[in-house]
Amino acid sequence: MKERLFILIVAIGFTSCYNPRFLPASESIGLNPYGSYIKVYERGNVIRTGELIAVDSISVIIIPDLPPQYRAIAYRIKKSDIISYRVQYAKSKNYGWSIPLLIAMSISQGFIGVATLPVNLIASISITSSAKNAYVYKSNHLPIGDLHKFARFPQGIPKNINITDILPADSFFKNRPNK
Amino acid sequence: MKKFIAIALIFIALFGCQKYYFRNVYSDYNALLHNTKNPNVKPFLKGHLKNGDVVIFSNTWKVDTITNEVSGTGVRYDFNRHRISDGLQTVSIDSVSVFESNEQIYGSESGRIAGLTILTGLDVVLSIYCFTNPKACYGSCPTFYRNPDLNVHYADAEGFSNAIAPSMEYTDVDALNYSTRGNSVFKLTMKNEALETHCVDEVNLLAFEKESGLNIFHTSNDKYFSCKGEYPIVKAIADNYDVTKLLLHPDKTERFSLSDSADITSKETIFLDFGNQIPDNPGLIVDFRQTLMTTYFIYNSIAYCGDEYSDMIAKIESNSEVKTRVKNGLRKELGGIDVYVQRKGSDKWILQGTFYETGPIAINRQMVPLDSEIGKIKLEMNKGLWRVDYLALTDVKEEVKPIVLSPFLVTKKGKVDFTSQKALGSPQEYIYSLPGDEFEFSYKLPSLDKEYSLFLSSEGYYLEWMRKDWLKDKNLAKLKELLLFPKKYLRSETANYKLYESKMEDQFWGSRIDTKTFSIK
Repeated sequence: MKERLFILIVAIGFTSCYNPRFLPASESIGLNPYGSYIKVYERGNVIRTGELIAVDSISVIIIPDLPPQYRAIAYRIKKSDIISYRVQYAKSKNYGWSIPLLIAMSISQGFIGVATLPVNLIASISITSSAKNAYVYKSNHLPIGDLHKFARFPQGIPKNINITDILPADSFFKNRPNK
Repeated sequence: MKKFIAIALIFIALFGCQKYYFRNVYSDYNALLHNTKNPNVKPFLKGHLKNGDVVIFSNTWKVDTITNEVSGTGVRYDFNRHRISDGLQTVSIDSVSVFESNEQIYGSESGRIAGLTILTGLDVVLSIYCFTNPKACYGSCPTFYRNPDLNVHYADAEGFSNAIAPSMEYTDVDALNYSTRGNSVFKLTMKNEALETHCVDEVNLLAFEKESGLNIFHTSNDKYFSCKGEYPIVKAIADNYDVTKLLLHPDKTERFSLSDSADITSKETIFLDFGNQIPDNPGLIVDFRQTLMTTYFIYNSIAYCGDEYSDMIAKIESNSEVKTRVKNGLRKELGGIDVYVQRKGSDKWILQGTFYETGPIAINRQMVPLDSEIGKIKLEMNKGLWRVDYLALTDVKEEVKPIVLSPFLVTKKGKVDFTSQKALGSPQEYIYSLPGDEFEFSYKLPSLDKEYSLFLSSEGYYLEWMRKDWLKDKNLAKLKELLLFPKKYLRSETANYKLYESKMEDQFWGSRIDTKTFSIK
């Protein structure tokens, strides 16, 4: 059981940091033309992810993060169906490497490692975890009324634009001429 | 545990709650001007236009209230974020739906990087310390050297590793694997390289007159035999691997295995074949030592005592049942290296003897006399507990008795240590050796003309120092389980030990020079 836990911790350390390519580095937040990456938890155990396009009075509009060869279409999620959400506005740094490194350090310390292993585990996991969530707002900290600030169109969908014409970031189709 | 929770909370407080309220959105440009009027604050500005385009200005933007325009260097994107133009941008305020300002985030990772750097730095220092002083981290007992300049990896002998309390004192004999002729004096250095107090009652030399072509071997029941010749192994198979090369020469290229991940008490077998070269009175010579498994469990048991460690020592002294359990519990379950022989024409394996010496430092050389009608030979041992360096048969001639030599001179730091010298001559007095101490013992050999085979006989006990870090691991229930139900305890500790095993072995032996490598097969 403990071995499995160990493997799980190491695996989390290496794999837990998913960063959508359209997100900027934290230093370039002000230069990014796209919306933030949002993960929406809907009623009925539905989870949707993608770029936050806009927020209006009744819905949140997102465009899914499909692989570039697929044509993703923006769609609306009713606010009343949303249970919670998580918004990431910059790429997080991955410190997962520190978990196996510090475990190995503890092991190299013989029986002193019995004492240093918990400290190293707690510290490296908390740093990795905090880095992962450094550029994230969750719904309990970011009210839905302020969610529009993190959208591609904070003003709402412009009147002249049909949401089906909106292309996702990094899309293969983005290089085609507009209709 | 509270300490670790406190540390975790500090880390979470430092690194877990950093948020950046860096973004504002203004539909009224007056509000934008009001909130960004500080000349030192020129946040990045995005103008989200009514048609869906966005213009992103660098921090040189300005508002012209006369022309009602915003201008500055920047980039303009369409609603799909195709780049339309870059360079000087001028946007009419009337065309803008909302302005978005973003402050630059500086040093957002510095706290985490600093935390990791400090932690890794401390760990590196500790690891280097353990690497250069392995016994401080891995522990042991008195180590003996013919050459005092060598380190723990080249110790010639280690004394009374099982004697962890005064009443467990015993005499430990180790072959020095050394013969001398033409020297009147033999010197041996004893070091304390661990966090232990060594109480040494005797350090005697056992000298055997060696006739030409004969060797002296020590048995596990403390007898000595003169033997002729060494018959090398022809084939050795362990776990379906041919391990012959590892066992062919006493070169410290040892055969060992890792413990069973399902049950640490699992056994393993090495099948031996000596071909047709079987002497008349065969005896099996084995060079062996332990892995770090026993050391791990000795330390665990001390840590379980926590702040009652000294009480536990007192209990061992005053209660013979406790003493017996401490002495035999784990040893009985883990066992030694059992030697079995199958006589020719028989399927039955007959136990010939068992090798056992606690300690991972010095290699022991011992011999067990075998039945004369050898068919096959096998060794059975606990998986992951033993390192075997060399196997050979020898022709056992006769039992011999040693000449016991006591040191005529004891020095400490180059000066004669009369107190220690006197203590060695008195049965009730001890040499007390603390971490870092080194004693040199000098022995007079009986004759210059004769060759002597030498063994070390050390008697005493040692007290392991309780480490502050171990106190938190106090667990009397575990200690009770270890003493009363050692098999159950060992099985329950399998996963914990496996976590340490391979790395601990690598680290401990990592400082060896390349020519003396170890192998796992």
